[in-house]
Amino acid sequence: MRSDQASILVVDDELELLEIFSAWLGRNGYRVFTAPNGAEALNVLRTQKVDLLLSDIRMPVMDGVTLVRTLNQMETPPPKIIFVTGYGNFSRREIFAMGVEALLDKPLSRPVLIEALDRCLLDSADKWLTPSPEPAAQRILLELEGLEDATAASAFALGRGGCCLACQLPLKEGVSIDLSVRFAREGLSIEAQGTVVWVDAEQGKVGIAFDYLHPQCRSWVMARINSENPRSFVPQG
Amino acid sequence: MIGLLGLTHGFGVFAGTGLLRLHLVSESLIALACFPISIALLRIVRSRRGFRYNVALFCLAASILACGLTYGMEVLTQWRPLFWVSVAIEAAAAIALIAVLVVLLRITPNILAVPHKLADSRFRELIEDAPDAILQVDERGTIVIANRTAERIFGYSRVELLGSNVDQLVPQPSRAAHAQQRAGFLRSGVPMSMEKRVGDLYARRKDGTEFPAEIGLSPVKTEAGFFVTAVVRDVTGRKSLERELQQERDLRGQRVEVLARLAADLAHEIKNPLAIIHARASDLAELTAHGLPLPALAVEQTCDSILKTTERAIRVIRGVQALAHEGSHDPMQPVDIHGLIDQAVELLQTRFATHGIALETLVPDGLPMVECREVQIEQVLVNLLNNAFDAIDGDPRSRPWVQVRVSMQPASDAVGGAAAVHIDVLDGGPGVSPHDRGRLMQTFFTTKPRGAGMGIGLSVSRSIAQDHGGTLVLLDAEGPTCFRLTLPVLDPQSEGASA
Repeated sequence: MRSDQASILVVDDELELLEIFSAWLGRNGYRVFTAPNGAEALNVLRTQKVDLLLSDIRMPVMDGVTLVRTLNQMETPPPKIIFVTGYGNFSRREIFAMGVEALLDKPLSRPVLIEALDRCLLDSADKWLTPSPEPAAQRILLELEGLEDATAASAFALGRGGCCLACQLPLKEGVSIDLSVRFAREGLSIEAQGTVVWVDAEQGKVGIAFDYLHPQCRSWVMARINSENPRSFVPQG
Repeated sequence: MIGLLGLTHGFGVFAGTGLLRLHLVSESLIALACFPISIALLRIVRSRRGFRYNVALFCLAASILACGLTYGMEVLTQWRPLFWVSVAIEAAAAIALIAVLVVLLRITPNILAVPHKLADSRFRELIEDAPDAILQVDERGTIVIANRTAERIFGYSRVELLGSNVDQLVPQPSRAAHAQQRAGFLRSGVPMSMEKRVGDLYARRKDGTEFPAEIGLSPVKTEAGFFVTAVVRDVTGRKSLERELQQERDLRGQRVEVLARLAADLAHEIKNPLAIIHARASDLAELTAHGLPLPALAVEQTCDSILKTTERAIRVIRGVQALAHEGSHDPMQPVDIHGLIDQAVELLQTRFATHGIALETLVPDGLPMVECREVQIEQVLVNLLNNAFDAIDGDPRSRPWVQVRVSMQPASDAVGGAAAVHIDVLDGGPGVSPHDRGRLMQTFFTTKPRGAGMGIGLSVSRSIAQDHGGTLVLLDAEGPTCFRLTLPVLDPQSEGASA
């Protein structure tokens, strides 16, 4: 999907920021809608076709989290969603499990915002084509018995854009990862590059968003995602 | 009748009848007395097997028995002279006496090594002047020993203490229970340490006043029966210190609670302006980087926006700084109530607005000054407003309004006779249930969901109000929930006099 075709709904109660973001996106050829809160955003979504929702979390009348929950309960498939926020009181784990694909922190620059939007608008298959030339900060190697067993035991869960793993390694949010998960019984494996999006050290769980999938595993992972069609981007586990 | 007198001493005298009679009677009595003495000594040896001087006692008993027999034989000799038997018994007595002598010589240094009197008096001093009251009580609760500290702590003289019942040192309400506990303790016989009994034990002085006490008990078993030694420590000083510490901890806890909430607000309140400033500046930078002309209007608008936004951020930070300040050791100063309320309201206004809650203030003009620690009273107001916010936000039945209403109360007895000001915080929340009303001011009581509040805000706020000579109450009236902070106002006359 090319950016000049994409329509984006920007939701923020800070009207000056709303104005700045629309100007930035307009300059990049996106079709832009705006709303000052979640309730207004729902009105826009009812009448307009929106490809991507760029929303603040904390807003009067209806906040971003409530907005996404409402969208998830609707019959029509929700647009892709990115949160931009300066607010700190939320669980990253829940937000990625709700289907949000990226979480950007205010303040942010135009290039960072545009890159995140462009990437989010790509189809999953295209998104995972190019490996990063940079070496990953850490490597995770997991040997599991079987995919179904691990899923049942909550040791592994697959979302639309990443996975949740039982992992005792000391990891930090935002760190790049080389991931290698092997399922002995099925003879399947995931070889991927990714980014840690949340860490629960107490439960020994970690959420990873995929950035690149090795061609060998791409087809079965895509097939599984398509068949299960999870709402979560990175599951809670 | 003529007899042989004094044969045992190796010489003989013929004496007259009167003398002989007296001699025989005395000797018989000596012999008779010797037997029970030796039997008594032997009984001691038998019943006190571990006693270190048992050998000495045994030898003494044997020698006294032998001596008694020699006297008996002497009397017998008057009628039947059995000289050989007499002499043999005498020899036995001599041997027994020599044995006593030998044992005595051996144990004397040991006995002398114990500085008997001195040790006793030192030991007594030790007990008398122990830092704690020491009492010994018999099975019926009668005090049999009391040290000097007990006299001082309880205010009774020793004469009054000894012989009286220990229950009189226990506060009236728990006396009956105490008597039962005493009986139970005697049955169990297990010592009870002070540490285990720390808590709410109180003891009663002679003048009827009570003091918090730590009490240690240990059972003592003697031949005269069971006794209980009680060590009583007056912990008044420590208790009040603990209370002060707890208050200070609560205050700090409240600040942490308020600050934790503010931190999340602050992130939002500061990052939004920063995002605007950042975006505006980077737009300008992008234009110059591409060598594009900068229209004067664009530059002016950008700078205007940056300046306005910076000021907004600074106002937020100032408000938080004021609240983060400790304040409990600040001097009391005359403060304008109007300004105080405005500050508190400004701090929270954005949050109320973003949640669509109207925050209104009704403050009449011409209010007198209040003498207070400004930061503390502001903390109380912020706390009350936060509670109002939570009450509305957490309940769909509520109407979204909060009001701060100030009114004057003329001088009355309610607040120490001085005029006072009421600061009422009312909200459109669902109200406080009658069940929760009573517990609302208790520390660690909270109706908020887990993680939202620690339940110390109101109790600390109330103690701050009391420190200021005021009160904090939940009004009983029908209608909206209303917390009333009452503070005494400065008397304009005394203010003038002191100036």
